[in-house]
Amino acid sequence: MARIRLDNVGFTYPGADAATLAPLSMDISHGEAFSLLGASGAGKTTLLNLLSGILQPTQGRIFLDDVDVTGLPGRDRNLSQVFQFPVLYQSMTVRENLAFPLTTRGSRRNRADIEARVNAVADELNIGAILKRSAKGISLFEKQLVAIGRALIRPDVSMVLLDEPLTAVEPSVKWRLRQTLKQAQQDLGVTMVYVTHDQTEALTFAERVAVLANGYILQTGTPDDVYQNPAHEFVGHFLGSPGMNFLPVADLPESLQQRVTGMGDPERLGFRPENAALGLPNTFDLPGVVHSQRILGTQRGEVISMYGLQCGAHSVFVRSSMPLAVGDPVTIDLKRWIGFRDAIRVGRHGAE
Amino acid sequence: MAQNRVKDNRAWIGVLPVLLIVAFSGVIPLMTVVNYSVQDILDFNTRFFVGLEWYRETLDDPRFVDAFLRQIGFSAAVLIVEIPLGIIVARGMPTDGLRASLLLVLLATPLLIPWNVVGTIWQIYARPDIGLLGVTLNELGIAFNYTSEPLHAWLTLLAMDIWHWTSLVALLAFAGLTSVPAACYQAAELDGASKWQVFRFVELPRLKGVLVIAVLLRLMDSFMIYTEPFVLTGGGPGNTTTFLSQYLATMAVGQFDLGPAAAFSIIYFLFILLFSWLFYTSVMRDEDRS
Repeated sequence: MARIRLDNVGFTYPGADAATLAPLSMDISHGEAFSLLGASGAGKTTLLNLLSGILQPTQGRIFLDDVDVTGLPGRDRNLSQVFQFPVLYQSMTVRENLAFPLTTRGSRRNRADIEARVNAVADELNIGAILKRSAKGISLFEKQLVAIGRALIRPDVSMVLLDEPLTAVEPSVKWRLRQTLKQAQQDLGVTMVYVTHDQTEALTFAERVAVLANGYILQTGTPDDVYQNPAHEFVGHFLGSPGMNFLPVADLPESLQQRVTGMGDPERLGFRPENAALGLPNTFDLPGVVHSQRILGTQRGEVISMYGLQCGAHSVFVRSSMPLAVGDPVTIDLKRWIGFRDAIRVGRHGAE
Repeated sequence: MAQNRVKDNRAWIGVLPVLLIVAFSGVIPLMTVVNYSVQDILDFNTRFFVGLEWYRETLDDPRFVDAFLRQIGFSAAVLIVEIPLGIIVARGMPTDGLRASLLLVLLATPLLIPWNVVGTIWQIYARPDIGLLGVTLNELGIAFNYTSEPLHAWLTLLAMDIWHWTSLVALLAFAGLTSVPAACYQAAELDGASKWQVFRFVELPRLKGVLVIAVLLRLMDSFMIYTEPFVLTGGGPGNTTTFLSQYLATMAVGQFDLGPAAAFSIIYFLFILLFSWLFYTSVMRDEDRS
């Protein structure tokens, strides 16, 4: 495993006007579970390809354990990758698949070592029972497990890249695969870079998440940090379901505007649906009207709903246990909010 | 459920056209040949039933056995060269862009030339007196003459067949290679696989299907080859390049020995069937095991 350091790494396709990936610096520590989160076209795959050596950066340098690997092909970086769909050597057995990276030139080991390592990894992933089977004859779920196993087989692998590894797997076993992956990462202590567009996967897997959009890293932080304290409006909007609500400060009632302006003079306020409370009319500053209701479930005997509210020209979502019907007038109390100016966070309120 | 179903045998009428086509295109001609093969036909009105006599005679005929062995040698040589060569050409092809399109057209060109024209091209090309190849070889000090030297005749025939048909194998292999996902190459690269390992473990398993087709097509075609050697060497020098089909044609059309020729045809047909079946089942049984 290794520490990965990106120093001002950027990538522009030849002849393209704009950079696919704007110059960025990043530091991933030994044995860290790191996630790259972003929508399609955000530059995740480009960044991954830069790490794996398919693409070479048009600027900047990449270091693995302080060794400059910029310009080296993938095979010389001692890393491994798990792809969206299971990539196996289909003419081999599961055991041969797992052992393959240990038998190739440059990493050849003796038979007993290979045997021991294959068995250890198979135990970790719980695939000991299918080792003798042909790689063609196992389920998609098992295939992806074997692909993960092959990525983990080299004990000294510098990093494991995961490119949306749960895409091809059935929803019913997704969580199992995710669990196994997380467990293996902790047990074996490998540095993992997990690329996904799925926020649940990123936030549950990683110790740190980098959110990418349009070739820029907007924020890097712990899952809690990027969720609760988005540094950019896009991060707030992209994470959460529904995402963060945004209201222009100019459209807020006078009383609320005065409380807000002192904190970095934001243009827009962002708040999460669970970080606001509802009250009867005239209780709080911000009035609204219920326009939709979706019941989320019950908590301590109370029905929790996601209410869609009309606040003047804007629509916001608030999670509440207050029993309301469509058309009811309410007032909203913002318990915790972030102030944004030019889409960048300038202030916050309610956070510890 | 079964009781509710209305029994209506008229549906069989729908199958009738197919039965008729199969009968006229396959069964009746084949049965005619079977019929001939068990008779001695002297003229249109005089014929005798001779049982399996013609079959016995054909299998005992040293000229048949020689032609058969030559045929096996030719097919084997053709397969041994064309299949690997086709794969090598396909692997060397660019995968997209204008160059790929141009190369594909160029590759397909030999396949579009009528077979007797292919024979004629090579017949002239290899002539030691006026042909480019023949003259060049002789200029280089090699006494090349395919009309008098059996080895030269064979080499010319093989070169012609390889020139004519390697493209087919290459095109099939190329189609197979384009179906290999980029991620598979990438995984092999990261695993540190050598070039040979990439071919052996990434490409070959995915090429298997098209290669089975390529081998079958080339096996059957080369086993039945007639036109090109007929034009190029006429079976000579002597009988050294007389293959089965040519011997058969001489027998049936030249000498009008319908009975023996029919028996010959049946044996010939069964051999092709047998070879193709043996090859196909051996490959596919391997498939089932894995």
